Order: sequence, then C-alpha cells, then structure tokens
Amino acid sequence: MRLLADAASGDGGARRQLFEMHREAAYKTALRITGRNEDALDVVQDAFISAFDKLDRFERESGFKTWLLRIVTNKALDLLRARKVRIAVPLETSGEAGIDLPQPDSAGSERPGAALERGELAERLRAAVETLPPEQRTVFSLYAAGDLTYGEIAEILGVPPGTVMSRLYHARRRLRELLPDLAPDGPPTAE
Amino acid sequence: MSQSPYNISKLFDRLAEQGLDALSPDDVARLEAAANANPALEARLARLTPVPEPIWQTLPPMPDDEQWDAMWARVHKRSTPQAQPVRRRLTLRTYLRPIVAAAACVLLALVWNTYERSETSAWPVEWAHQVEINNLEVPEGETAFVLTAGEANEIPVIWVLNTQG
Repeated sequence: MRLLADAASGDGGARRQLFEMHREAAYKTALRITGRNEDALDVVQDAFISAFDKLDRFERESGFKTWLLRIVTNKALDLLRARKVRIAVPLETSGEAGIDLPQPDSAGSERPGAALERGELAERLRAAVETLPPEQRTVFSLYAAGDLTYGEIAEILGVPPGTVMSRLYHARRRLRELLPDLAPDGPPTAE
Repeated sequence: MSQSPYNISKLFDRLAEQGLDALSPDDVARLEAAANANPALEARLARLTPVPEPIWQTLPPMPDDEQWDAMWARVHKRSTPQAQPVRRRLTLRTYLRPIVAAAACVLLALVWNTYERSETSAWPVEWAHQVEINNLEVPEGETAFVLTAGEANEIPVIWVLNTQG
C-alpha cells in the first residue's frame, strides 16, 4: 500500500519498482493476445503509462496487478481491433482446411516437449492461440501469464468466475486438438 | 441429469483436486451454471487457481534488460508529473478568446433573428425555438456551457472547452 501511495504521488523509485514487479506478467498477457512481440511491447508501455497517469484514481478494491492486467488486456484487444485481425478461424481438425500449423519433425522417438526448439514450440503455440475466439484467447492469455485465480481473471475481464472456467476449459481443449503432440496427457477425452 | 448439490459439490472437488482435465464439457456447463446461481460456490471457485502447465506457458524469450530499461525510460518520461501540461489557473483571460467567439456567434444569431427573410429564401434552416437542454455530458478535462440568444433567450448555443491547458 505504501508503494502504491508513493507511486501515486509521483515517486519515480516506487513506480520503477511497480514496473519491475509486473512487467513480465503484463508482457506475457499482451504477447498471448496480440501474438506479436512488437505489439506486446507497445501495449505494455502504453499500459504502464496509462496506469501511472490514473494511479491517483486507483480505488484499490482490487490488486494493482489485476488492475494493470485489465488495462493491458483492453489495450491489446483495442490494438487487435485496430489491426482488424481475423482472430476466429474455423478449423475442422488439424491438417484439414484452415491454418497450417508448423509440424514437428517426425523423426526420433523423444518426447515432443524435449525434442523441439523452444522457439519453434513457441511459434506453434502462438499460431494455435491466434485461432481461438477472442473470449477464449483472452482467458487463456491471462491463465498462461501465471498465478491468477479464476476470480482475478474474472475481475480483469468483467465476467463471472464460472464463465472464466468454461472459456479456459474450451480454449485448452481446442489447443490440444490443434497440438495433440504437445498436450501433456494427449488429446482430451469426453465423458 | 441430476443437478443436486451433492453432485455439484463432487464436481467442484474434482476440479479443485485434479483440474479442468477431470471434467467433461457437460460437467463444466453444470458447474458454470451452478456457480453463476450460487454466490457461495462462485466465491469458492474464484479462490481457485487453474493448474498451470508449463507447455502452455511456453513463450519466445522475454525482452532483455536493455529493452526493459529503454521501455522504463519512455514510461517514466511520459508519466512523470513534470511531463504533464501545466494546468493553468482558470481566469477570465483563459476564456477571453472563446468568449469573444461566443459573443460573435450570439451577435450573428441576433442579426439573423431580426433579418427579414423572404419567402423565397433558399436557406432552409431556421433557428430552433423552445429548446430545452436536459443533460450535457462532456469528456473529462473539458467543460461545457450554454449561451442563449434571441429576444426571449430561446436560442441556445453550446460551447465545449478543453480546460487542461
């Protein structure tokens, strides 16, 4: 609370501390939603500027991280709308008409997670996430940023926790269908 | 398909202990509906953290220290109080130009109101009379005021000014 009060009064050291504490979560969220490194950096920068400008009006009913990620999410979605990116791409099954996702080398018997380069893996995941509908994409992005509860994600997005759970469920299910070799326990099975 | 509290409770426990993978799409739909209808259950769900899986958290390399430092420099420059436009104390001089402009507009309205227009005038527009302004919303940092003209002050002129310098 003291840190927030100091930052709100313009203390550069306090603001720098907040920036360093939350920049990675902000970047991960922005990157997942926008899909581009350059856009994610722009979103994070604009979000922190906006947050610090409004810090004196921050009511502190939620945590600063939750509040900041709400700003990040909204700015990332605004940027997508401005780019007029077609986010939802109907994809029957992987390999059929739709997005061609980079496929791993078929040679070798190592587990896929160990065999792939991190960059190629990240690119495949990025391409798959871009096919998710916006509401699933934002929930998944916040989940993947790490350490947020259903309630915190719900607060950021302004939806009930049950809706967060449902969207995350379907997002992960979709990603497993698109990336069956990367799913921790294989494709999902319906009961 | 039973939706008894016992079944919902078991679904919730399965979610809490094993994560989303332990549920079917129908389970998720039932649990979502139950949480939306039950504040206590919703609160319990809100406190849960979805099980993180490293594979889904795979990302390209994060920005390096140099990139972060450069970003911080830009953030700091654009958000420090000194970087903001100085807020001027609002005085008559602040409003002088818009007041003169508004006065000119009112004068024009008075001239127009007393000018005898012919029936064949090509100007189809007439001043609206008996106008009542019930609400006027402006963005933050701007202020609005209404001047009236006409013999009975029946012609409103709306001005919106930016007061942030």
